[in-house]
Amino acid sequence: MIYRFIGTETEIAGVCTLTRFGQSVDLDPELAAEAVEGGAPILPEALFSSVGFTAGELDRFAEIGSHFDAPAEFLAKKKAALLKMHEWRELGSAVEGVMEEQEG
Amino acid sequence: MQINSAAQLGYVQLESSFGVIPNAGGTASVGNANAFRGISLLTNADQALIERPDKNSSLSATVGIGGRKSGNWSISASIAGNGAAGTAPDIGPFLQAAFGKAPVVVPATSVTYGLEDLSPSLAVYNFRKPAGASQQCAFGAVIQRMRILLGEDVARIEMSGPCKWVIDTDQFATVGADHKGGLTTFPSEPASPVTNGGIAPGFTGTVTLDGQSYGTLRTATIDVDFGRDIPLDVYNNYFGVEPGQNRRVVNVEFSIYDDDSANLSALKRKALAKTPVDLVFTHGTIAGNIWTPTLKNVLLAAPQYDDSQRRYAVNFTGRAHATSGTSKDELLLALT
Repeated sequence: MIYRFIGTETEIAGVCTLTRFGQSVDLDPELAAEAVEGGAPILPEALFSSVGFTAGELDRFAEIGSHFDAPAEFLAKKKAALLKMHEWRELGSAVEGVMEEQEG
Repeated sequence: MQINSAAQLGYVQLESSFGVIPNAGGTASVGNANAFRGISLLTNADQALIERPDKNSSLSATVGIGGRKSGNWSISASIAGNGAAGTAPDIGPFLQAAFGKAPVVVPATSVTYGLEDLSPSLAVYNFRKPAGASQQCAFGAVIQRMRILLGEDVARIEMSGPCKWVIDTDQFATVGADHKGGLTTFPSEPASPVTNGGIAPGFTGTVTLDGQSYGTLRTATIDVDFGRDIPLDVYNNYFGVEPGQNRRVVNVEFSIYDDDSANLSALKRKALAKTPVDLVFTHGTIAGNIWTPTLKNVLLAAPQYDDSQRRYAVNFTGRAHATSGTSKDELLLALT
């Protein structure tokens, strides 16, 4: 499954090193879940796309240092992506909780 | 085979009960998600030696016996946020154990650690390479001291304290259950550890002293003694029991270039008059990697002048205090 990176630097040892904002990575969902649990700031491709970053923005602001003086429009999209990540994580936990209840 | 000290990751988990390594039926639950990077990670077991004090027919010492068992641990790490604002850093469990409670998280915005009078404990794994090297886990680890060092190329955080014991793969098969923290097998290092965040230059950020912004800070160190210790005096027990905590001591020292500004002059006067001031040291400039320790009600000692460099510097030391007996606000750490 394809995920997009929205942090500064993340390494999943032996699997990938993520250093560019918006970087695409193909991860097994189980490993992705573990990575998210470990704080990896990644977002499923569909959710990332829904934020509406343009190709130009992703090219210009791939390096995290460039975010220091990025325009408000880009920073608003970045914040929206972070909020989506938070919601996605919460949803994942909720789904997991429901499954545990059903198994119990 | 040699063991290279630079090829090493640590793993940390909060314990639900003091001295019990997180596990399911004796199998450790440590995983890829618990990894963190550090400049240094040390975990050492310790056992006192009890020597018989009785006089003997000569001055030669006779063999003693093993006494109480304990351990100690320490980490030093670059200050690195997660990279995504609103997500705790990899060393989050350490910060939670240091401050005494879970942080307040504002999604996409901040993770803020405030003080509480509790002593959460940690299981700190020290996995080294090759896999045949002695692998260790310090359990029942509490944070006694924390230092935040700003101003050099790499900003650092250091933490240390005692632990109940350090179990390792050398001793695991031969020691009793009380040495194992609830484990029945010692785990292997997780295969795909996840680590997050980059460093920011240790000299970047903003400084606000008593409400005034300064651009002439050289270095700053925040040094917290949490006053925690593990009692090691229970009868019929070789090991320590649940930790106790004394009053916290939050100290700060910083060096700033001297000048003739009204603001710095006022700060010196407040130091001499023992007027409390608030100090804010922000490290980093990019969202997701900004650390802001805020110290409240700092009583500064008399300024000390330093003429060892081309420019005169003035050095301050002080101790932060809570606003009231219940506010526990002498130190706050916000990650944004």
